[in-house]
Amino acid sequence: MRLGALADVVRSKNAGIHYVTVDVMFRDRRTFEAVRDSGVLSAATVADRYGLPVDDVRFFVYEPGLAFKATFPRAHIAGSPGDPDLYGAQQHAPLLDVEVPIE
Amino acid sequence: MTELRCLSLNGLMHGNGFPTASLDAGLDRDPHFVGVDAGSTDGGPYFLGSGENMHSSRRAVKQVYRTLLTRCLDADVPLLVGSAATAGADVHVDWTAALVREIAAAEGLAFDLGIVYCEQSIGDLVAAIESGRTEPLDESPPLDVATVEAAERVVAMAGPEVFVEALDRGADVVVAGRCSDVAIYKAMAVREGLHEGLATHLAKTIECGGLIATPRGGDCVLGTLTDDAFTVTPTNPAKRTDPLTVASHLLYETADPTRFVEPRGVLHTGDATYDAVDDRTVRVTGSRFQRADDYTVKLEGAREVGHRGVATAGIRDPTAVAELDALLTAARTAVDEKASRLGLATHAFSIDVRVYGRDGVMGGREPTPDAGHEVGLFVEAVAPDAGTVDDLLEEFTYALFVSDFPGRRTTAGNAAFPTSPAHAPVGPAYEFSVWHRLRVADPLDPVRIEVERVGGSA
Repeated sequence: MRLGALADVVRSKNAGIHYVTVDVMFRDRRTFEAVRDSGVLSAATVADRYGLPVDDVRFFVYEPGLAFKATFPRAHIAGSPGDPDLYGAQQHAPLLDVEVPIE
Repeated sequence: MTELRCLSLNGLMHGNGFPTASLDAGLDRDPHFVGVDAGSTDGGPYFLGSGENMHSSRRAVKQVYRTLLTRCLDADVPLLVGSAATAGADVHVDWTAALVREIAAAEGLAFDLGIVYCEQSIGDLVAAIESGRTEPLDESPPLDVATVEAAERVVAMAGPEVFVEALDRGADVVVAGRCSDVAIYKAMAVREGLHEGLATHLAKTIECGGLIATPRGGDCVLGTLTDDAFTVTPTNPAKRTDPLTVASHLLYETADPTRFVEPRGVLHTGDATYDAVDDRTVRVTGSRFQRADDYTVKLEGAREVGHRGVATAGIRDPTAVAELDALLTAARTAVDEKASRLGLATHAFSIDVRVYGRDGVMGGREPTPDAGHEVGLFVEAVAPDAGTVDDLLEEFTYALFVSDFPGRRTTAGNAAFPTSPAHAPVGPAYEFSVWHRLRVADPLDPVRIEVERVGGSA
């Protein structure tokens, strides 16, 4: 199943001017645990979807929020000439298509 | 047991207003202060660079302050405003203070106004660089004197101690320049000597007001801090919180949900627990604050990088869409030649093209860069002056319109322009050039605090 169909929230935002952070959030513990246990969501997956070196991706499993988080460098410093996304608010979409091997 | 009640107005105060009934409901709970954050770097470097405030007109912002000041002074509750007028530079603080004085005079309000200035002088910054008291933050290069001298403005992001000082000197209302969001909501707890881990975590939790509640949106939240826990409750009866909405807020706009760097140290939330008290209130325990050896404040600076102009265009011709990169290369080449004729060095200008419908939002990170039946172009030019920007965009749009590409049949014009003129000036362009940490001996060293008697005659 696509991650976008399983998660309740998939969003991105700036974390300071040098990083974008992507949050994948669930309301239901069973789904969160199933995604976590599948192992498909990881720093390596994020790096692959965004064409980044895996060392550039900080990945967090945040149990109290039933959430996953990935933080990685922006292509431009926020708001500089050439930056296509001032707030970093539309950088999450590539994760929606990640296939999670659960029904 | 000590109990401190903190009312957060909402996540970001400018001219957008807030639900007055939620403020009144919060004031009915007899809070020890009302806090609101009025700034952010989120909107980009323009506001720090230009000295303007974000989005709203003076009239709209004044209306919000009028309601807020009259309500808080009526209830005799201190009002703490942080990061005045978006960027919290001196010009923003003065703009806000002038507006507050006008309201006081018009409404017959009399009170002590604390004003906190956070802008840094070049001399102080040079001295800090030379004595090794600055260090890069995140991906920034080391700070040097040339960067500081080129900046329009540099502010230091103050900690909670600036509010404590203003309150100790009798302020009823504090308008602060750039400060951490946490500082606003942590100050009273610092003043009372309460549990620093819980106080910092509470501040972090309510800094965006109603964003911890559902339905989400700008609204008021009451935080209550005791010796061993804090609770949060939206004051709007239509809003709810649960352990998940409260815990999840630590993800918002932060790099790491378990570790938050503040001026005096690091907040650790990894061992925090969240429990529902009822269907609108959440109780949090277990947060820990680890004091750092040094007190550090963040420096933020912006520099002008030239003037900006923009153009938009749509392309529907299927061969032009298929050969788009050839077409864009032709237009860029024409701009380079024009720039050369104008005597512009290649590093003195930039042309950026976003192709919407292909990879306009994500650029090189787009995993599926497939063009559809039409694409939209957004062209951004930055050059030393507005006239040169016009020249470059004129050249780009003209070359885009007329250039040949393989298989071309659309010889009357390659693009649709939705505006007349086809390109438009924007104004000065800025970028964040300072994003560093400054080590200080005393939290009040990088700021100037004034307290004045305001208003009285109606």
